[in-house]
Amino acid sequence: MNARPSEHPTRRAVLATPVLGLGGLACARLLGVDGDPAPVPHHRPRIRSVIQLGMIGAPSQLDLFEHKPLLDRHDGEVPPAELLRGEHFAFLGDGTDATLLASPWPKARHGRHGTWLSDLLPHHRRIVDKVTWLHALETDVVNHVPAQMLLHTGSPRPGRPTLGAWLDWGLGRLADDLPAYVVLASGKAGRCGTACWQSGFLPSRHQGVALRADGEPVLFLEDPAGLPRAARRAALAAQRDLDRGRLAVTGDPDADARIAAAELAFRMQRSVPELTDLGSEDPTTLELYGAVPGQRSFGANCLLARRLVERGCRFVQLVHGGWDHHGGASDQNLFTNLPQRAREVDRGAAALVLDLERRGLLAETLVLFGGEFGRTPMLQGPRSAGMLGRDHQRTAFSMWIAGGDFAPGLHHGTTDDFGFRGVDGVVHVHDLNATLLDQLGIDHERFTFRSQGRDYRLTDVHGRVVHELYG
Amino acid sequence: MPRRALTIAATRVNLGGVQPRACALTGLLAIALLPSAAPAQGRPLDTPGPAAGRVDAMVAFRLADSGLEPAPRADRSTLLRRASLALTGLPPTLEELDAFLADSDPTAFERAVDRLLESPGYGEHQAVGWLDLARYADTNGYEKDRPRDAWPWRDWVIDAFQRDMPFDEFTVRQLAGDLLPDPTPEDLIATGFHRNAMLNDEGGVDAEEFRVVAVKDRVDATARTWLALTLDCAQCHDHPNDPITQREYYRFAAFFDSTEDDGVSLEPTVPWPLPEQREAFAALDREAATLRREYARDDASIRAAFSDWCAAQRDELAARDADPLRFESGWMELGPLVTGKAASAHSRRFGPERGVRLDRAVAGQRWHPAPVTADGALELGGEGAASYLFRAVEVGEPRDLTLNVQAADGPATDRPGTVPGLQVWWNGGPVLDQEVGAASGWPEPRALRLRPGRNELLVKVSHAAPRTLRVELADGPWPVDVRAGLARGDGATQAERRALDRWWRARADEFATTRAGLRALELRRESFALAGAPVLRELDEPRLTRVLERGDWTRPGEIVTPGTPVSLPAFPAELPANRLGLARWLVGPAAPRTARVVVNRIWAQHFGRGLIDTPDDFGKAGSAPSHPELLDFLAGWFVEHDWSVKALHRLIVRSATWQQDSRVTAEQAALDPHNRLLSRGPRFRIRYETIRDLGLQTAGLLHQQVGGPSVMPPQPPGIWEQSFGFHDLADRWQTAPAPARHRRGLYVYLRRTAPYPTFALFDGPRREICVAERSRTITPLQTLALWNDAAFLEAAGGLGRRLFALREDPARAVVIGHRLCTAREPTPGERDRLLELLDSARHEFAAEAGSGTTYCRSAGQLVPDMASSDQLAAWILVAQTLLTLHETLSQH
Repeated sequence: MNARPSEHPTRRAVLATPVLGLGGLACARLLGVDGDPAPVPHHRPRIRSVIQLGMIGAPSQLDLFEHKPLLDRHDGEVPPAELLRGEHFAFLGDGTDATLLASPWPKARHGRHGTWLSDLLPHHRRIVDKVTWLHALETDVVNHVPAQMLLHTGSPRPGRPTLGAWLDWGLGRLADDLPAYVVLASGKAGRCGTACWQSGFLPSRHQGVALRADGEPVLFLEDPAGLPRAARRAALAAQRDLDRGRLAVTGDPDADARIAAAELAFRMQRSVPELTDLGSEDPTTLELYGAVPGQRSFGANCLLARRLVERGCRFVQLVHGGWDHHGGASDQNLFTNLPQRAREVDRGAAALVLDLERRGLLAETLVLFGGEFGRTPMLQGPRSAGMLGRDHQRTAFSMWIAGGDFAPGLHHGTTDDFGFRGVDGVVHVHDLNATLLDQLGIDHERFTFRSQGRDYRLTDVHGRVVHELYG
Repeated sequence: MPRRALTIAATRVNLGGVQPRACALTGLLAIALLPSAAPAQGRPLDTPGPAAGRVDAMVAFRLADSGLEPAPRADRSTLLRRASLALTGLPPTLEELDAFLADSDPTAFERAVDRLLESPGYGEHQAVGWLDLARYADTNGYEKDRPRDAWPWRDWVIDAFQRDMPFDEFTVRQLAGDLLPDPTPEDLIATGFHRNAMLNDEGGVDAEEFRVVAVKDRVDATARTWLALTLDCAQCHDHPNDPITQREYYRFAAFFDSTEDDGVSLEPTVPWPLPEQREAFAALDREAATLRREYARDDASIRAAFSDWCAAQRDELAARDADPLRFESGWMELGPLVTGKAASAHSRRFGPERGVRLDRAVAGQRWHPAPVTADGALELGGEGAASYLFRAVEVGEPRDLTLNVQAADGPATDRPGTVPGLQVWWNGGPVLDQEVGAASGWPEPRALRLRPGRNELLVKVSHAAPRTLRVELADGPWPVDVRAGLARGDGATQAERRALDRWWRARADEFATTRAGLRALELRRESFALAGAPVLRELDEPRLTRVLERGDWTRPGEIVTPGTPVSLPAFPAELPANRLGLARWLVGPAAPRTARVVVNRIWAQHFGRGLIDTPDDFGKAGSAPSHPELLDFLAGWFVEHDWSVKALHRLIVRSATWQQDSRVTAEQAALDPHNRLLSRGPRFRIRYETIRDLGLQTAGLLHQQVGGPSVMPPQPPGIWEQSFGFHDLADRWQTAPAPARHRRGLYVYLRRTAPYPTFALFDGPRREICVAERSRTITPLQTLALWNDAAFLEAAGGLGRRLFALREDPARAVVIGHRLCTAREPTPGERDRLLELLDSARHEFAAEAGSGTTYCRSAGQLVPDMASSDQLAAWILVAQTLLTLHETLSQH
């Protein structure tokens, strides 16, 4: 491990039980924390794990969640100038040449609170009263990669750790045979590649481990063809004996970490395939998620996410791409592709909330659903059926959150009549991150890491815990 | 470069205020008061015995306080391995090891070090840390993450280290090679340091936004790399306890604000040959030099031919003056005829091409006198429009006329690719048709033949934006200066004579063969598909840099000029206020700081940590130096020794401090757990590149070819698919065949959004921003990679095969394998444990029929016969175990 004084093994208890002769100290170094930024948690944690359902490319909130009768009524008209003032859109410039686009799909009210929901999301009807709705989120940047970085790391520029990495570093692991920060991808790839789960200036072991859809779930997990398990075990034992013997001579503490790492690697060769084998789930659960064992899909990933948090995974990040619907004849066509994307994620996302709830896990797990920004009320692309699209919009977008203290069925924030920007209950992505940390027992202002001479926070110099979201 | 005098004076005199902490004063005293240990002038740099002694004395002084004794000297095989890994990133071969152990001469170690410093692996290994600082990668980053040819710069760095380019020169060329007088192509390539900044060609981006991001990135990388200073905190507003103000941040940024690159495109670039083209390219250069010498020939026969020609030309000139051109009117214009796009305006035939009738309206427009600027240029309006220009001229006798069309609205718009569409008709016949944005740029001047009587010239210009053009008709074939030279005869100026001579040589029969040869060479040169290495190029007109309110590029404030922070040594008035001045300042007035930063990093390379263990932050927030006087001494010594990095390495490795045994005693673990006091030798995990190279070398597979485009060794499927841009790109990971796949780790292709997985697992940085220090983690995912990654498995296969060849004497084979990996003879116990593994592995392979054969194939080894395949498989597993030993993966 890194031998810097600021990165000592800490006093924090590690829940793992050592197996295969895993030394106590080595175990703490391996599974636990390097550096002790501030005693965390700062207060009693309300939740243990987070599952983030990342809709990469920015889904259209106006066609899924936001009911705007005025927008529908003024379809094809020029947007009110005062709403556009000072805004710069990625493709529509200052927006003055653009016209408003009514949502092509009907919405209806569902649940006890009469939540408006697009007909594109039928499974969501079952969870409308179980999740908290955020209608007036805002972010600072209007291009995909910078916005994803801002959402995940608190900065639109590269080099900072993502939320999952912060948690792995700060809170340590709950499981002794699985990574604490896992990424599950489906659909078109995420925009910034692995940058969305990087560890930034934190040691690289805190970066997210992507469980892959094809081939082996963890890179290099499977032994090469022909190597008997017993031979691997014999080699591991020899390596351990030789490293131990040398440790007695050199006193190098890193040798301990090396031995522990090898033993955990050996265990993961068993535990990870067991985790990813959905065949052990009962048929009704598989049906609930629409998951088929052996086939990676968003629904299967949602089920995997539940299995991960059950096993003590701290942060599960799902990425599902293909939401960048600018219009035109390509796969960026809103009219044909939004319904398809919605079908892909609707059932799994709803199932995850229902499944966690019935297993009593929702109280200690957060589930978030949303993209990196929103889409404009204005049309982008040709105004002809089947070619419609919407541009990027940073000033207002939607998300839902379930679990922890979040008030079920609450609607927070409203936007203007056309959905350009929030008029009350505006929540910045920094506020969102501050609130997530709060649920994990962490004061975002005191959760810092010193790098290049500066104390960095996930929320940079911003962020406010949005207590209004709690029930 | 007037460097030594300035920098040494700076080291001696100008230390105050360099470091905003107390040790600055100690530093001043240390260098000013200690007698110089520098060798006398002219003495070779490679005998720094007394200086190494000084290093040890300073370390011993601190250590004595703690009650610890220095550790004894490490054994010879450990020392050779340590030096080999530190200097070349490769372990010693058995031959090198045996030769060194057999060499009892007292200079044996010094000679071994000299050999290592001159071996080709040295430059490659030293470059790696610099690539991290420079955020070197093979792609642009952000969403599209398209490929770029950054490798010529990488090769320049390797070469500079290999030749031991003095660090001050290394600095100036990389920061400002383009601003040096008469820069060589290599000087331009060197500026790639700052073209390693990411660029964003994602759809819908504002170029200016990402140009500003790149400028800030250059500020950050420069400040961290040379000054160990973090400036980026100051970009939004001032901080009460920070010596750097927001205004100073933007003054520093102004040095980098006037380059041509725009944040979204790779241009400007310099064409650069691939390694396999280099020889052919050099041959072309040699041929061209010979032909150019011939072309410049100036003997009696040439001079006679020239004066004959001049006389004939003067006659023609006189005839023309007797029959002047008679223009019917000034330029007439029809247009602008707007279609919205220059290309469609160009392709649409509006009518005049079938014959001009000045009295006839076309597309609702009439011919009118073209608007002319004060100096005679034509102003063409409209966006996405065509303008027709017409002129008629009368003459008595037939003769030549020269047409020349050029931009008159500034060089910035003159680049190839930005020229408007141009079509020309002469007396109704087409003579030129060049499409919009032609890569060839503006057309060459063109000769037209006048017929007696009326002649008609029609020019159509199709442009995206309003343009100002100069359309000139010169009487005769001669350009203005040639004509003037002819007219003046003996009274011609020097410049006119040269122009005349050039003009003649380009046409004279005497040089026809030479000209044809040069043209053929040019065509051959163009037939190479060259790399385009991104470089810095300064704008002719510097940008006005403004303070950005809260760091926001859309909120520009006060205008600032380039300058350095006041808490650092002053920027002398005699230095230019541009990148060149900044570079000279870094190695001049700021040299005390720069030199400390550099020696601290080189020290960290040897010891695993610097004397200041925040190598990119020497400010208040960084950590205090463990040995301030040692840091100051080394910095001064380094500058006095001509900023020679090799000399500094020699100094360090010859010190008793460096040569200490690295075992950790219980006492040391208690009193000096992190070796801050240097109570023992260095010990740390080697980095990714070294792990890879070590495995390949022990396997006998390492392919030592220096430089060239990055290579793609085996990687698991599906890695690039994680990257969004993958779907838009034609390029795919194409696993290189042997031996290219066995090149050193620093040549592995690095895609920013989907880095090479084992590189990332072993803490290879993403190369998006400047990184001064990699973390050195030890994780289970690394173990899995060492076991199962195809590249590492091939190395185990190669080493296993080597040992299998010695299977008649397994004990000896095990010893050799152990020495290849660790340079150390195993103890009898270790040897027996490995033999035990060999036996049990053989047993396990034998127990599963066919498994041995399959495993050998997995490790890239052909199976000799079924009987020995289990044996070979067992040896491969032993080899892999040796390669994953903690000792193998440590520099100690």
